[in-house]
Amino acid sequence: MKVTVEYAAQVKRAAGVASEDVEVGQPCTVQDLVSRVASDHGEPLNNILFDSDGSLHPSILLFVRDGQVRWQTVVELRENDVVTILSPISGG
Amino acid sequence: MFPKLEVGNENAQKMLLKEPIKHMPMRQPLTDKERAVYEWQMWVPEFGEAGQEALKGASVLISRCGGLGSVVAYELAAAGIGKLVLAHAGNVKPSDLNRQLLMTHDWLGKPRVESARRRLQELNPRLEIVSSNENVHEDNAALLIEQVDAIVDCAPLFPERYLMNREAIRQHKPLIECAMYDLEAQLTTIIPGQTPCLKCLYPATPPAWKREFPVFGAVSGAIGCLGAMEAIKVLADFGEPLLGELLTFDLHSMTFRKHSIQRNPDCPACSGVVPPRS
Repeated sequence: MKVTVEYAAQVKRAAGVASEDVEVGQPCTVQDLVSRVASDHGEPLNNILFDSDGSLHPSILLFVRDGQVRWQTVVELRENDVVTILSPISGG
Repeated sequence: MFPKLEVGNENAQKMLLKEPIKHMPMRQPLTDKERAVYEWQMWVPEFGEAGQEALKGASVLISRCGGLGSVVAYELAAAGIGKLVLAHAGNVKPSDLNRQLLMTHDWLGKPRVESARRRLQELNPRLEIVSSNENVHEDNAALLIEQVDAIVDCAPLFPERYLMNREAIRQHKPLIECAMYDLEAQLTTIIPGQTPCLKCLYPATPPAWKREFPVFGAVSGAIGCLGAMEAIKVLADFGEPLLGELLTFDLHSMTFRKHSIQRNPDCPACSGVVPPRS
């Protein structure tokens, strides 16, 4: 099935694209998908998303269909879902 | 091992977040001159004279009056806010001038807050301004926030932002979080005890964040205006502030999105905090 990944802020810069469609098997969780795109893109995306122990960095926000999901909560994706991966930004 | 989440209960979450905000400024009656100045915004049906009186009686801390804070301050001054407290250390630099709209070329090398003061008073001579030539820090945060009804966080450094988050929670004050990078921006309004706080969203300082980053003045201006409008809605109690919602935009593609965000039940800053009773 096809899902869309959208990247924001420094995650977008690290990925080199604003968004991409990804073909995944079923079932596929958001955790599977994020791990997959980090692996596909390699550095620096992988480094910005994951800690050295393989956990998603706690400052990274994940959204499925515009609703926040936590890394510890398994969320199965559906056909045409949009997953947003967002890094924090600040003022100035 | 971990619970499965059904994404889609955002409406239920939204209903819980629409509780009235308990801390409201004291309304101040308007003069005829003020009615003339604010006539067009008082025509906004949900706002009216009551909303304008609320703004006149309200005070806001703006942490840093740089690219974001300059525009927040200017729009709040234009809207008739009663008092602004500005906290920003340092002097105007050349690289400020692409976005810090309260700074001017002839003020290079002089204190930023003083340039902000004079530009704001030109626009609104009735505005009370308290300025500090210091950034918000551990020794002044409580006192600065005690003086105001709401805070707009325009600071670039996460320790500073976490400090304001902590004090906003402790003093039960609304906190509007504005952020920007490149052509993107983020905005949310935090009501302690009702919405996610900053630590719910970002429990740890992001390792990739740098003090200096790419941005246009039009981006900081856009998010500054939106942040000012959030403050106005909160203080005058109308419209739908971004409670439990994160607004993002990307001006590369002119894409605007709203994401629902959650309180973290284990948040070290706000778990167990409930709104004060009215």
